[in-house]
Amino acid sequence: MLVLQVLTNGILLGGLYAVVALGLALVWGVLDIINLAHGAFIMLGGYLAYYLFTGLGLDPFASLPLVMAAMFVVGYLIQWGLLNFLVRAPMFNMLLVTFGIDVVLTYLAQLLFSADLRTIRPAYAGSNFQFLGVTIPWANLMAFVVAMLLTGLLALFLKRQRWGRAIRATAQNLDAARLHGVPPRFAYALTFGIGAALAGGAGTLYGVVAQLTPYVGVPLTAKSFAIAIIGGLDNPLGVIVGGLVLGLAEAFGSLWLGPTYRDAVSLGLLVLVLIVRPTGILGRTT
Amino acid sequence: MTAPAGSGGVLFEARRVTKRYGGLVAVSDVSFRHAEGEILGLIGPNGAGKTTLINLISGTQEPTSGALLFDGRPLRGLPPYRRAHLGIGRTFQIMKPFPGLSVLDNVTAGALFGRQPERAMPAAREAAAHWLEFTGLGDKLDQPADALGGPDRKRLELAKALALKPRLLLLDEVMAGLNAVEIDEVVDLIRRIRDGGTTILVIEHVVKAIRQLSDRLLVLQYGQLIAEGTAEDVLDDPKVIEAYLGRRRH
Amino acid sequence: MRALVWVLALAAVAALALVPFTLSPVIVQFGISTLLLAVLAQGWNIIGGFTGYASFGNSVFYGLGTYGTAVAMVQFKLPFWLGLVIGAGVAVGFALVLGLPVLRLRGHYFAITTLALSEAVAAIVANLDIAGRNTGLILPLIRGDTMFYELSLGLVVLATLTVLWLSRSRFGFGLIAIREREDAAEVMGIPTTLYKTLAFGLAALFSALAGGIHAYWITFIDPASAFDISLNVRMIIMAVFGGAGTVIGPVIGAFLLSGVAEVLASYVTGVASLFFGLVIIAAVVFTPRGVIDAVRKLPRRGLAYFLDTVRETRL
Repeated sequence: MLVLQVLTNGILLGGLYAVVALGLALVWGVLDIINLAHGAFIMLGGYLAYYLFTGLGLDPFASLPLVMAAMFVVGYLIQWGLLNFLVRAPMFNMLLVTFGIDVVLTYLAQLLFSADLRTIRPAYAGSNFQFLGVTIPWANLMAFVVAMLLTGLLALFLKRQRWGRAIRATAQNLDAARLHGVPPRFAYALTFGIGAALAGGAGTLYGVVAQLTPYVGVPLTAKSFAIAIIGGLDNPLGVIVGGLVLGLAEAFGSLWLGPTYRDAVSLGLLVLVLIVRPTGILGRTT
Repeated sequence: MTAPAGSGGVLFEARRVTKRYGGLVAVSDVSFRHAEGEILGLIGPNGAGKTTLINLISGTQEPTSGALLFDGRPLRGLPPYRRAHLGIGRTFQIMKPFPGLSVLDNVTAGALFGRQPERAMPAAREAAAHWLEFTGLGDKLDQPADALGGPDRKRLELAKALALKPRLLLLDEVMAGLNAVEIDEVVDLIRRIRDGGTTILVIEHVVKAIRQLSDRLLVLQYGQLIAEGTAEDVLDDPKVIEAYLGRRRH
Repeated sequence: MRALVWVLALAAVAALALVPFTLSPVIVQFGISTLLLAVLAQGWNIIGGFTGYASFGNSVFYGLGTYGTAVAMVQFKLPFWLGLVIGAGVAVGFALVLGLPVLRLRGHYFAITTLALSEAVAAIVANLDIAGRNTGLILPLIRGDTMFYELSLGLVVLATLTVLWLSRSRFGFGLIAIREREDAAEVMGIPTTLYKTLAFGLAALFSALAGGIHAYWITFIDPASAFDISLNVRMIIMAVFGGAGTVIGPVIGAFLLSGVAEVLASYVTGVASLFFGLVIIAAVVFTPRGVIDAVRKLPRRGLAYFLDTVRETRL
């Protein structure tokens, strides 16, 4: 059943997309910072997982926490040492700075890792199973599950944990964050670090189901925007909705219009949402 | 096209105006007439819908139902800038100067784009300077607008609205936070504006000032018009007294 | 004072115009690229610097101008000047029509929408047969860079004069008021929607003409290079670094940053993009209001200027 296959592909893709966008949506929604280097963080996470796999034989799903921890540190330092100094500057300054970071990271990746395509291929990569006439690759399914797990964990963290609640308070206003006993600079750095960590995790999953090059950053950043906006920034679970919508749109778009139109579909959808309902599907209308 | 000037004819009329947001009713079935050259006061407890009414008249918001007529012509569908061209000017309660511009430039905008605008920059700047003199800011023309203190900001708001050469001027709490001397100055200023031919709607909490200024008073509570008449009549009305003293917090 | 500025400006333009006749072809080529970037920076200055709508997708107008000119010349065998007119027409039409919904958005949302729009158009163009799909188009060859250089210089002058006019006219004043506080501008009688859309159209016009000139000069275009996203950032950083909202700032920013990039590239090959990234970061941190602002204030404040800026923008 072709439609069922396409539907399944779309859903699996959508789940992955959700975690890809998660870090960007968090940082944007809470700190009002649009991180144009988000895709580069994903790319770095992917390469880190790749080298842990080829060098130490670590299965990517096992190295996931390590990669996330490493990327957390990277993100934390960038916010603490650089971005915190620009928070009150006009909006496009932040966009430019993060773009600069993206350029630097992409260049370094190209220098260190070369432009060759790389995929993380553990033993189970490439094996599928059949369910209701639909072929499901194991790797994609596992990636989907982990993606949902990470999203759920973040939602819980923001709701229950003290630091998570402080981060949400920071989104409201800085004084509220201070009341929670968390100094704003720390709250900002913590949030950005978590965003980077999530990007790193997404990169690991991405490295398993797709191909890594130093240049995957920009398209992934663009997709993350689309997902964050479609889903709405007010609710962290919005990325699930956004991811699924985009995944399904791309899958069916490929089917009906042809694969070359895939980008046009996702971008057209984004433009439409921005014009018609900028706060996104789960967002509050002001 | 226009009503005879200063004849006391009706310049503005609200007919059964209602504004609803979701479940909340901000303005409910309000009707009144505002004669040309009249100073109409609008009072009421906080949250009564006064600023919303001004927003509806200036075009910042549209009513859910009802009609607003300026010079006999309906305002529905006209964006704020068109209403400014017709001669409706307003001040904002939370003042909104153009932050990066000088005091003079702030007012020049009104002179360039209001009713009977100046088209050339130098002439517009001159007109702006004149209005700033009128409101007492003549010595602060080149200062950055966001460097002004509270009372001066209000004068700036006033000058900006005046530069539009409004026929109807909507003043939203211009006296908040002023001391007694400053209040008297503003009352005098408003009187002189009316003497120049402008019709004025004043929202105010300072009862002494509103009593001195207003030809007539309107009282709003919970979005409804509960009293209308001269200051003496209205301020003695038991409903009005209860609205202020017996008011409960939303 | 006024007369002196005009004399200096004329002298500068004359000096620049003489470059193809006095300096090496390599410099002429560098000149053309830089001049076209300066046009893009000025175009962005109109919508981003003056009107306050930081568009991240002006590359779409550049791309439409590129393709409009190319398609006119390659598929319909029309002369260059007509191709330019068509390219500009397509871009301005696009700006006016799509400007209406898109300019209703503010801040980040506007920036993202313009970026997405330019990517979407690029993706669509890459699928059109008349545009040569992904392979692109090859334009007729014409030898001699001098014509392109003088054309580009002329366009920079035109764009800068337009911005000068904006800084003095009623229309430009309206745009600045919109940037400062749009809702206050509206109640003061400024037709905000009309003005914003016109500003957008002006930006489109200059960007498209730059694209058309570039297309004929380079003779080969494809979707990736015509709708190159990095152009957006480059034009913005040049305008912002030079001074957004000023008349000459974007041009100075374009020349300075291009010059720096060239010099670095010739000393340390291959690392140009790395340094470009670092330069952007440094520029944004230390001179967020642009070089012109720094030049004006450094003499008085000295190095304290940088401390002040950082203090104002830090968390």
